[in-house]
Amino acid sequence: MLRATNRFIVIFLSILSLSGCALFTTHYDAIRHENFTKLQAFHVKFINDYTEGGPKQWSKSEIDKVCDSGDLKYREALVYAKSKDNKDGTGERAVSILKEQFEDDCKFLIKRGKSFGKAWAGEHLEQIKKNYGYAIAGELSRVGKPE
Amino acid sequence: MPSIDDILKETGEEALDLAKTNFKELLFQAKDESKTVIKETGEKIEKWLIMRAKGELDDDELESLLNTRKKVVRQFLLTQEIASRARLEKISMGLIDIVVNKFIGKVF
Repeated sequence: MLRATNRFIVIFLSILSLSGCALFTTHYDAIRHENFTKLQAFHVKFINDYTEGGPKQWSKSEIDKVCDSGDLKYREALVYAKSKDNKDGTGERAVSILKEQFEDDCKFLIKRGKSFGKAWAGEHLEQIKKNYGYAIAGELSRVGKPE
Repeated sequence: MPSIDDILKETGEEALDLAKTNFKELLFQAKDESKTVIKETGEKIEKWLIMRAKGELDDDELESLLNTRKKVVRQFLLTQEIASRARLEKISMGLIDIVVNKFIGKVF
């Protein structure tokens, strides 16, 4: 009787464990975490550099170079996140939102034909930092994060 | 400083006035929300509309900020999803591990 009960519990737990796997999320990854912080620094610098009074003058060729180099950074982070994702795809989705934002900012700067306005940049930077902040908070809420 | 009511005054154009009324209702709901992200979204939209009315932002800048905010909200929702999945995994796996490692062969 006891053996039958034990067997039942093991089978039940195995089924529960296997069926639960599809629901579970991608685990914490230190490199993905680091990628978020590096991309944030790069993105914030890009906005600061090309804001009125900033160190860089508007120049399409220079902006294209920075945006191309950014595109590569975000693509690398995206490929890495995808390679570490569980079925939920949450790592890739988090990087993807940040990549879209950077691309939008590049297009906006090119379209303007002049540096970002100061009032816009102040408000925009606050939102950009929140976006990366949420991405980092999401990473830190994963299973396996360092204590 | 113009208020949101000054900015969204009725124009007599029915469709536009209806959109403005609907917008104001949503904005007040958002600002009354206890959830920080919704409340903050309402407050930011109001602030940016006032900045637009004062000429501190142009139409493209306003549109850009609204699209940026949309992405912030998407990232926030994703963060909630991740935290909720992680909690589910921790509790489920924790229970399973305790039974498998501590109970079987000892409790029964």
